[in-house]
Amino acid sequence: MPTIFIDNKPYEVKEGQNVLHAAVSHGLNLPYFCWHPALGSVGSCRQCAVQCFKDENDTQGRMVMSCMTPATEGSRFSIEHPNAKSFRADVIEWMMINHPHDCPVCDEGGECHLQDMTVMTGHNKRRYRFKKRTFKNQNLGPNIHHEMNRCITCYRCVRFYRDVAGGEDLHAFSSADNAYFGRFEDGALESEFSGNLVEVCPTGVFTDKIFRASYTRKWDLQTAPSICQQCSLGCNMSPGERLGKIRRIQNRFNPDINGYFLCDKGRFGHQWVNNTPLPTKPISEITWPLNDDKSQVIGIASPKASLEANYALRKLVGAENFYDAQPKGDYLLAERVLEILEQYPETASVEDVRQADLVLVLGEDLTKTAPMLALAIRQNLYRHWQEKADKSKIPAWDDLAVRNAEHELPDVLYMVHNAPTKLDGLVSQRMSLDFEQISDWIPRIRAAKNPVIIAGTSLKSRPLIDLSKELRALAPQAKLCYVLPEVNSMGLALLKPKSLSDLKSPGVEAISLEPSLKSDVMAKVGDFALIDAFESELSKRAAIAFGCASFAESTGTVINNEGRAQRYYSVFERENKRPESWRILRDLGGFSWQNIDELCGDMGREFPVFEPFFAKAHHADFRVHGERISRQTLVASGRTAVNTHLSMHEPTPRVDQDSPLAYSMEGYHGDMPPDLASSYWRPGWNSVQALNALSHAPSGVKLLRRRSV
Amino acid sequence: MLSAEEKQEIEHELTKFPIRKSACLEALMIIQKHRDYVSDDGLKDVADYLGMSATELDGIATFYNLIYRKPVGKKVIRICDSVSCFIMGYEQIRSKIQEELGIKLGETTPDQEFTLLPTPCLGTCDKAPALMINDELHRNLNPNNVVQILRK
Repeated sequence: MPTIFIDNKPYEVKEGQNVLHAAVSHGLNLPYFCWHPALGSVGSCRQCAVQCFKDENDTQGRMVMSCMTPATEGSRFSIEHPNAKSFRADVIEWMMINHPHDCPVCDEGGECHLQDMTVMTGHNKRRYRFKKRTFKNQNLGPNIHHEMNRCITCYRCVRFYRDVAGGEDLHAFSSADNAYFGRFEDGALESEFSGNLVEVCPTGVFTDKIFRASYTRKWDLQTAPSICQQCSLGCNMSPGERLGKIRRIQNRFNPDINGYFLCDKGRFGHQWVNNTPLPTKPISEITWPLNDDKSQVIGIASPKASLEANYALRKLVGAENFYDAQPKGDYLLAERVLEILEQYPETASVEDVRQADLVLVLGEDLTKTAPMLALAIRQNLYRHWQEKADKSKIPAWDDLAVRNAEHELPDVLYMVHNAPTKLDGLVSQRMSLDFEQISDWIPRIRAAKNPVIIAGTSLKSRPLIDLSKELRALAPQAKLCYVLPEVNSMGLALLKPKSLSDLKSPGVEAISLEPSLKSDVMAKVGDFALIDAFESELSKRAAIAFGCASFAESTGTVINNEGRAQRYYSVFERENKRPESWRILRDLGGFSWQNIDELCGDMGREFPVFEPFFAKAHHADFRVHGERISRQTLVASGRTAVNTHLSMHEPTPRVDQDSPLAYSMEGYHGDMPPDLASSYWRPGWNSVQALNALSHAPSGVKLLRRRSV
Repeated sequence: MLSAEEKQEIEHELTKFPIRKSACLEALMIIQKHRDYVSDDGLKDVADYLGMSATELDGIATFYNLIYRKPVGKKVIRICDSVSCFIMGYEQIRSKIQEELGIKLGETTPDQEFTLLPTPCLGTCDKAPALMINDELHRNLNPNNVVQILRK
């Protein structure tokens, strides 16, 4: 690892980094705008200027843009040099000429990179006396709010939207002082990844429209580390709550899965949590309407529910009565996938897809079924360009040079599909779903170093799943990646439920965790009890319906498509707290589990496959320096005032029995264990960019092992 | 809809480029030649024909100040506001023109005769101040001769 000197202090840096990346990784306060760790450098904003010296005797030096300068062994720089400092002060003054002073009414205020950089540079007095240029904003659809006057022309939005995500309907218009970022005409942004503009934009041009409708400052949001519930990839995210409502979702960096980005389904699909909760009563106050002998009742498991809930249900009704409600075909596919993965447990993560030299997609329209995999394929192709550019001595971070050096589509994406998909423009070879010519591809697959074979259950095709296995058998270096229907499909499959289609005694009573039962399933069962978070058609038909906590109000484990167990933590507690579904089942069965760790202890003994995760997961009694980890920020406002219309007494924060997190601003705020960090902050860095100096890398635990024969 | 003539001319330009959308600027110039300016519909037609998004093409169209995205008059006056012309009296020339035509920079006279646009440099600094009316260059201007030029 090279050592560089910044203001005469030595710093060890990563091979191939630029000076800016190295400096901010070491927590140095060097301002910048156009650089982003996932977008690389273009050197356009001129904000990251530093003085560069020939050697230790050179006192004069010359000015360079740190983002465009490689951090080579022994090179010497100064952030504090007066020339560089005054140049940076000039740059921020130009940027602020047209920027409105609307921070108090701006959604970005308090988590704005521009605000941070302006303060960091010391620009606190405006000399410009003239009119600012103003723009007309566009309606960009239901998710993104547009406020062009705030733009500082860093071009990050189009570099993400077009270059990284492949979107075609956002562009830079006009030039110089009139440069405008938007669409050809008003209309909803078409990309599945448009929500990332909110985090990529260093100021308030693109903001979250759903958040705007019930706005709260960043420091007043209560957050907890969570897992996206929208597909089987299990992207890491951080929902924010205030006064009992989920307000927004932000990305939580996980290098193995989502990295710096989320898809729109994950980022914006959260308002259902704020629906009217299904009420519940303590077990002692209800009359149990079904058979008292629970072994006469069947359990209907759900791939949308946590591992803990499904296990508790299995425990209550017994393995013999534990059923999966999926149609028989889907059930068999899930069973088949698990069978294959027990033979070939080396599954591919989203990061493996980014790094692969061949990606084979068998019948999945990834942009719809697992959007972040589609983004990973786009990032993969760019990485190939970086590798080729490297041979011409172009550094990987030099974004414009990499893109100018290489235009040809790399020979990476092979697709078996009949219908058009959004990735079609990137496909180098294609075959129809009957894959009769698949043998033509076998030499290419065998020759690949780290190929990934992606298949899935969305087309409900057994031959495609079998094909993936056959190809894997031919190429031992290949990794498999299966796209499954739900967030915890893999977890449920590992609990080995039976198929409801095989149910022998129709009309039997049931307890269901699954809120969307198909009519053919409904025809098989008689009276049933439902455990769900919200009112639904099904809850009205149930003999008894128990309201349970949604994922945002409970702690649980889900297992993603690669067999990676990850825990999501309760973000908040409602005023009328509803128990977690496993607590309802515990009370029904009279089990003794006091918290999630006790339940997981039992589950780990019964299903050793989960044990490595439960051993590593932070137990509820985990403390940092004797403290719980705070869910609220140090400056959360209104704690003593927010309930004064009800009582002068400040309510005691509830004690979280299942996690080491606290529903309070009191607790530990320092360097977090990565799996427990839900927001990023450092002094002077209030935006998501604070992440760049923190080494958070939550990982979860990959559980699948080769089945011993 | 692109006319047969426009299509034929664009096709000719396409033969010069390896990638279809590389000919987009030429295609915009062609429809501007036939329609005097590039309307939203005209832009969409070209974008469809070249297989690119309207947004991408408009990003290119709006970058160039010789592609007109709004209707212009029969005569387009491009007055140089660069350093040499500025020193040599650009401001008086501009005021005189604005007074004579009753329009501001970027506007068109109600009779659709003149459009007044600023331009950075016409490459004739030694004979500043200067302007162009369509393809005709006028130099060594003063408030008197500029009125005569306009009335011609």
